[in-house]
Amino acid sequence: MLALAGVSVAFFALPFAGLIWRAPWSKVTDILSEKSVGTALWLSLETSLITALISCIFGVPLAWLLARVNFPGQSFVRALATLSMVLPPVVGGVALFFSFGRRGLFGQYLNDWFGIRLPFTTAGVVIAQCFVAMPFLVLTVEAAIRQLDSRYEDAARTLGASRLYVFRRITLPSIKPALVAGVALAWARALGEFGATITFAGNLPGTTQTMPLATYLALESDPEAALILSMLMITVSFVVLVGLRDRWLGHQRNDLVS
Amino acid sequence: MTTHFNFSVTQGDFNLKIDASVNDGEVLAVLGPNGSGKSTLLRLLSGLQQIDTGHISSRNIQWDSPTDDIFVEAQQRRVGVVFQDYLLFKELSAVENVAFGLRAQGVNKATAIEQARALLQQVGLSEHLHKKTPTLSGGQAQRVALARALAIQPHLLLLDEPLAALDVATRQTVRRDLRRYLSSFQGAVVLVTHDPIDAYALADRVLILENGQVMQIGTLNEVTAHPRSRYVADLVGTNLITGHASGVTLTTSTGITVVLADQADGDVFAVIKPQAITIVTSNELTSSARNTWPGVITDIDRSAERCRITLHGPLPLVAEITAAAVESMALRIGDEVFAVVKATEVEVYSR
Amino acid sequence: MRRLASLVMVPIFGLVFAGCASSDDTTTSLRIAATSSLTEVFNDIGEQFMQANPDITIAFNFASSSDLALQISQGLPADVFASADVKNMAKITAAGLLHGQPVAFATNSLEIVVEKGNPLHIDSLAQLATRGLLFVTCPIEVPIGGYTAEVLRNAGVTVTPASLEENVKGILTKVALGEADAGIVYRTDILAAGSSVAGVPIADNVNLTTKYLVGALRDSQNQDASQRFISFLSSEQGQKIFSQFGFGPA
Repeated sequence: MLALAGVSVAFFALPFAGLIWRAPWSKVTDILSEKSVGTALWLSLETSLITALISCIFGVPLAWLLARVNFPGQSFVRALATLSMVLPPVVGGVALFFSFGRRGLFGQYLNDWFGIRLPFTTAGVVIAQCFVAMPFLVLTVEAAIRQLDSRYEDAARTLGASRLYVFRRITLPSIKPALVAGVALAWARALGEFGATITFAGNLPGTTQTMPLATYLALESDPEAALILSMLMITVSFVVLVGLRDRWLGHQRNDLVS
Repeated sequence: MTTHFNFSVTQGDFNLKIDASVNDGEVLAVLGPNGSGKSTLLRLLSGLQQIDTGHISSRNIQWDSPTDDIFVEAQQRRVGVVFQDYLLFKELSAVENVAFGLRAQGVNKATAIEQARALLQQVGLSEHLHKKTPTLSGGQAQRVALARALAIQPHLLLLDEPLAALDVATRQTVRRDLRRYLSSFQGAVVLVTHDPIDAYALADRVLILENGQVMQIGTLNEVTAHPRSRYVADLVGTNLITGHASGVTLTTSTGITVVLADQADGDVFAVIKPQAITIVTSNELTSSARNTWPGVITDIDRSAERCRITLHGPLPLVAEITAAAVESMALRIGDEVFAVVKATEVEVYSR
Repeated sequence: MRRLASLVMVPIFGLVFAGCASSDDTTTSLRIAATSSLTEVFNDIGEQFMQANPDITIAFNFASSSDLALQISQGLPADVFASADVKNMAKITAAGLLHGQPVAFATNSLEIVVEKGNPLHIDSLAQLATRGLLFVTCPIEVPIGGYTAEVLRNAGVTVTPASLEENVKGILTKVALGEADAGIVYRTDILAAGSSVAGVPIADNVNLTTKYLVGALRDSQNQDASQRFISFLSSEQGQKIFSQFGFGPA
């Protein structure tokens, strides 16, 4: 077991070790001080955080619905909500065109009635990220709600609490660790999103060019910059993920044991 | 004012059909073996589940009536529930648990906490107000659960095996206290239990639920005097015989005859109290008793000066004799003996 | 440093490409890395070439010239490289990865691609600067991106793109879906796309003639087959196919 686990660790660690090894460290400051890098990083953080927030607002109720309410077609809805995890992101991007594009099923009305256009906009980036990232939150939170003893929620209802109140006061505090994990996963997925973004939102510095796009395109023009950009993304994600784990998950775990 | 329930509900192969009512100020105990439908009944009364047909109403307000398309959800019924393992909210303190229902209904925090504090004082827990509930003892948790259910001033109070989670020592104290709280409660109470002692101690009437059907309903005396099922007879600790009577003879379905003192006819139950049975080691003796059945001793249960002897034979019986008699006769498990019963000790009532 | 940059990517492409190659002893498997604007014409060329040369099977790897140049420099197993511009071929030549000299085999020119029916009635490069018009192109490192910049410069038009796509197909897809209003692509792309888009010619005085170059790669074990393929491109039969697809002679 330990040996196999060790292989896994090495498998995950080696690519990063490779990046660190080959990164042109002497040029780090030059590359990072370029305005375009800051722009892409800021756009990535901004869009991925908005995605995490939106995933939370819409994903948690969906997770609750899937875990706690029996309705016809439930498994169909669950499959639907997680479909984008298996869909190649580029295909997802094209599907978003067909739905939210200005000629799309829904997007045409947005465009004709409200003059709202999503492709090639920062909002489009968020849409693309939500499409691929939200399932991670939904699945994590749904599993956590499922594992909860629903009788506590029943008890709260007999005390006169509405479904919303029960959710807020009983369900939510109990699934906090899973919620944090789900948000972190969705955020990380959004931060690394490439395929759906470049397809649906396009690629324009300052508007839709997030770090993964900038990194990928820099591979052609300036491979050294691409390496540094990758290192920067890895560092930011690593700090946030480790920080979240220590601060929230570790803390919560102790609470549960006591 | 009364809570009525007359309904039927089917879950898979299981059908639960109950017609009963409980008055304000009255405690109805629902007794039944596991799987008899007791828990489902509580879910239906509390509004966590819907009935298929019939109706449930409380104080002339319909709570559940499928034909009228009426279903009042749990949060809108005034039903207090004390759950089997209390289900106190772990993240909240005792007083916050009790205040939960008031807060949920929009009472402001200070008022809710004040009322909760008063309730906890009434149940003698004023020293543990701010303890997180997982640190409370079983008896304390039970009282917090009761206070929490009473805080919403329910019209109907449901108790699901309120003493089952406690150890034997605490159970007696808590049962006594519960009796006191229940006697001051204005609304109707439904107490679900599988322990007849709870019913004896707390209930005014008893409903016997078996396999989703009401077997018996009545005062404790009525039910224990004339058990109508083996389950009740076992609960009461008496021998129940089912058969067909003709003249002064009762014949069981297995062909055993029981001589009766009085004439009876038709399908009947007969009870023989364990104390009325004499054990003899030989049937050669002449006796005035009209009934003698062979049996093998399968169990001897000694408590203080009395022993309950379980006999396995054509007619399974439980006899109660003194410990001294067991000693002098040197009775052991496996001994072949005879049970002797006077016809006058066989009480017969129609099925 | 360039080598190191795409260490991560190359094994993946390499695996895919190697998987396409046949390991049959009696036939030679020729792996051709070609710019994506040649996709349709090369598929035809490939079929006819294999009919004429039954001992050779061809496997194509289509991507943007700049992607391919990068991958080849990282050891992408390929026998022939066909580039859409001189610059990317020059990278390979400069790196000493080419066997012999590159050969020009076809030319192309540029056209404005618009949604079918040309709903915005675009008829000149100047109109691409219209406010609110969604123009998509590629980064200048990609040949079409560089050519687009050159053509617009020739015409004295400044356009702010809505997006910089990965390659020509990205531009075509977005215009065909109606999500972008216009782009500049190769004339042959518009022909190949059929009725899904429409083309608007660019005035000759500002348009470009772009050159396609092909060369055999130094590390190839199939130099003979590579040369036969390269010759086929310039043959009468090959040139006929190119002209069918709208390409000009070299």
